[in-house]
Amino acid sequence: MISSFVTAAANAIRAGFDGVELHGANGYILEQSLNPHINNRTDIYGGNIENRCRLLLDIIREISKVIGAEKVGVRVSPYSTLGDIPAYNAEETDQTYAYLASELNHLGIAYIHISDSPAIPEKTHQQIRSNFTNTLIYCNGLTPETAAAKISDGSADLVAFGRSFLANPDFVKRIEKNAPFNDVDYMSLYTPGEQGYTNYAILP
Amino acid sequence: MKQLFSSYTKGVLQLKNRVVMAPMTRSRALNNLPNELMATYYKQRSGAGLIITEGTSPSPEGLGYPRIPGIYSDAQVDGWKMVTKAVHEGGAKIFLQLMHTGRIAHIANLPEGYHPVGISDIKAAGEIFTDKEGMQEHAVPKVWILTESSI
Ligand SMILES: Cc1cc2nc3c(=O)[nH]c(=O)nc-3n(C[C@H](O)[C@H](O)[C@H](O)COP(=O)(O)O)c2cc1C
Ligand SMILES: Cc1cc2nc3c(=O)[nH]c(=O)nc-3n(C[C@H](O)[C@H](O)[C@H](O)COP(=O)(O)O)c2cc1C
Repeated sequence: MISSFVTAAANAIRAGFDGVELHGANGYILEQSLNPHINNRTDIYGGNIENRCRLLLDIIREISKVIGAEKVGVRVSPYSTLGDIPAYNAEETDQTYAYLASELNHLGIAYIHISDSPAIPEKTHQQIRSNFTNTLIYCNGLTPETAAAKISDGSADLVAFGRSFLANPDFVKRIEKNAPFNDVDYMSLYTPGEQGYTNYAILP
Repeated sequence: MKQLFSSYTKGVLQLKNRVVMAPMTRSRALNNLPNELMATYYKQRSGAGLIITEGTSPSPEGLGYPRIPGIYSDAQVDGWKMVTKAVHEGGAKIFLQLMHTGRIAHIANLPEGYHPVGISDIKAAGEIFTDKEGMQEHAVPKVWILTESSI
């Protein structure tokens, strides 16, 4: 598992990427490891917070040896239940992400990308910000206005948009020109072919 | 809104603006191979300072969804080269999201001979789409075993 991530990261650099982001969010294997209800392991990758964070941190450490920590980012989604991830004790959740943020800071990675939700207490945001000195990206439900406010108040360095980019290839230009946005076609999110993929309208 | 358009420079993140395209699975990678259509899609969106790609699997076991790309074969690396070239021409930086789906998977979505692998054998509630068999319950994953070779 760990070596496959390392090879994949090296392949990504070979393919011309500027870096890799580990998906530690939304219920996939790395978040399955973080969660005490899904991770019932009895080896060094299960049990207390350090052990549940170990897989993600070991992968990053090994990848960093090969491509450099400055080319690695991580996405996390504290308090998310996507992917049938059961919520767990708030204090333990906060400690998990505070610990991760400080370990990721030691490792010197490029960024933490937070898949935000109203369920995340202010305290968790603050702990991540104070334990991690490099770039923070925020995402989820942002509008150009709320995103700009996040940069102004210092809570985010960069702001990410999902569905807005999906439906508006020229999203940045539309913000600049104050042009209307296209709607997302939810029927074609995952269907093969160009319909609802490369054929969204672009401003002249 | 000026804040969004200011450039950002920290480490490898030398970005023309603060606007990032979030990772989004789009299931256009037939046979788990990045292709020209995907290069067009990402190039169209290279007005972003930074693009983070759709979740991409580091191994065949992590390909839980239909038609998602991988980054473990030379053919996949060659496909992704088209994407990174197109995006760089558009002036954006691009990171690859490494997504191993773990238990969010069904065997029908994996290449022949592979089985979903998880942190534990606890199955996820709910169903997942497969091309071959429509909606199916999530797999009971095989537990990832720590061996010399799997480290
Ligand atoms: C079709 C679709 C596919 C997505 N695929 C991924 C993915 O592969 N990896 C990931 O981390 N997030 C994925 N997301 C979540 C988005 O990155 C983002 O967090 C979400 O869309 C909320 O942001 P928004 O309100 O700007 O759309 C996906 C979202 C959508 C709509
Ligand atoms: C906050 C958020 C996070 C998501 N994360 C992922 C993801 O990591 N991977 C993925 O394949 N899809 C992801 N999706 C896409 C959803 O699974 C779903 O396909 C999409 O939201 C459209 O379905 P809906 O209309 O039921 O929301 C995400 C969506 C949202 C809003």
